[in-house]
Amino acid sequence: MGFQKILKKMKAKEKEMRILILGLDNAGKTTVLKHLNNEDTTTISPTLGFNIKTILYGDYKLNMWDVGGQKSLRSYWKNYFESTDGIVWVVDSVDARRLDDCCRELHFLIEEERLVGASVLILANKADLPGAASLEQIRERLELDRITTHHWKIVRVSAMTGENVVPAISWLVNDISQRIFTF
Amino acid sequence: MIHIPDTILKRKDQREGELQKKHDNQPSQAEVFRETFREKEAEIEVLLASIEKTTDKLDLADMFDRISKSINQLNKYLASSSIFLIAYDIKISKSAIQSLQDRSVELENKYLPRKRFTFKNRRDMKPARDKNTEIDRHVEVEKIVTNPNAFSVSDKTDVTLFIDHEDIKNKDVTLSRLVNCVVFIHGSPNTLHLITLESCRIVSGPVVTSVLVEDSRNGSFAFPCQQLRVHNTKSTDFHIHVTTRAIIEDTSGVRFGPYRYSYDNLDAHYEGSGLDRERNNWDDVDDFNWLVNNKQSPNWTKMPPNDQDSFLEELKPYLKKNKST
Repeated sequence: MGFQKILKKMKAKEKEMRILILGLDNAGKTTVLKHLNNEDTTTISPTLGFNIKTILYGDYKLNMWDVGGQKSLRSYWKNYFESTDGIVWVVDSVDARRLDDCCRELHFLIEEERLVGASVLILANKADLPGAASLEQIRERLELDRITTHHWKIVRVSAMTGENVVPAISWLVNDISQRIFTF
Repeated sequence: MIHIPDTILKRKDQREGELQKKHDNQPSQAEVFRETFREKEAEIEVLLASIEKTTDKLDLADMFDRISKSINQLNKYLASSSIFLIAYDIKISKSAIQSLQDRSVELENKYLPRKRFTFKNRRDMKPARDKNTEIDRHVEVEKIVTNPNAFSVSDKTDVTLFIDHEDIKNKDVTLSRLVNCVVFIHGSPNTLHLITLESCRIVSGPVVTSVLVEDSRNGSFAFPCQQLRVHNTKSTDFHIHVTTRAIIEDTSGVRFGPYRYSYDNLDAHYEGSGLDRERNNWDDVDDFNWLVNNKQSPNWTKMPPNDQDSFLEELKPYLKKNKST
């Protein structure tokens, strides 16, 4: 009886994924998380600290960590790196001025040894706004083709309207599951 | 019935006795924890102390990495031991870890300042852009061609600008590198970026989403918005209506007051912006460099009402001039 319980627990644990949502301030990380959780997205303040939500997606339990992106909080990001399965990197497509900052911070993560093996989903957010940069422009400015050590994908989304968010996350979940749950 | 030889039974008793003895002499789990914790803590202390003597950047990065790993390990050890520890032990250990972490961050900022890097990069970029705009001394407004939704004004000194709703409706407005300028935006932009402004007065109608203020000094700004982020700014007054919350970072000497400016179409623009006029959190400011609960940050204060009045008074001469021309 007890043994069966343990087995069950282990199985449940196996289907858990730890996903970090990171990006510069004002990228829309909290909005992405709130949208996935069907919460109101109009009253979000800049995140002081972090938010964590557990979301059920199919058979999987996603532990999503949304860590504040202000400059002073970025030095704390590394405290969340341990045993991360996937990274959602959120980009403000309208903020062309800071795409270089964004590029540098992203490649800093890519080189992080504790994140080796994590799948990387890049969300070109705010795609609903008329000033949004194109997918090609962002791909170039973020030098995504330099990433050879991780599985990655870039998707145009709008966390505000919810467009494309769920399909993008499902790519991430599938990619992670193929890597770690090979039954 | 199986016969067990006496010698074996004797040996069994002896063995159990020894085990019992050992058990009695053994320190409790909590004691072991305290001992190990202290050891680990001392190890990290040694690492932190040796930082001061290291000069090589690569070595430093490596050391900080080791420190952060050790702190993490210690955290994990505490977490897994929390089952048998009393609350007091947990509290003490937690604060010990926190202080180690704080010191590590402090040292890292001092010896391996990553932030400085950002700064340099941006500074390097600027002159390149300046070259293109240097010749342009007109008081006219430049529009960035690549983004039809951007509206920007930059590199001006001693000018007064009036910008209408039609010019900036739903657009991303950027005002940058202005010195001693006064700007009236009687309209409702989508976003507003105020970058590197020196001694400027900026007034705007309702900003639909967020306002970003960076690298500014000695200014007075007034606007309603959903979110306000202030980075790297000194001695500046904010007259704001903010429906979520304002935050400041690497900023000091700033004051906040409620938005009291008004112009002809303000009501209509409020309506169009979707901002809730009933909800104004102008005095609820988060300082990202002051993460102490229940203690007012030294970096910002509330503005006394008579200073709010005098700001409105200061604007009047400019508005009169605009009407007469």
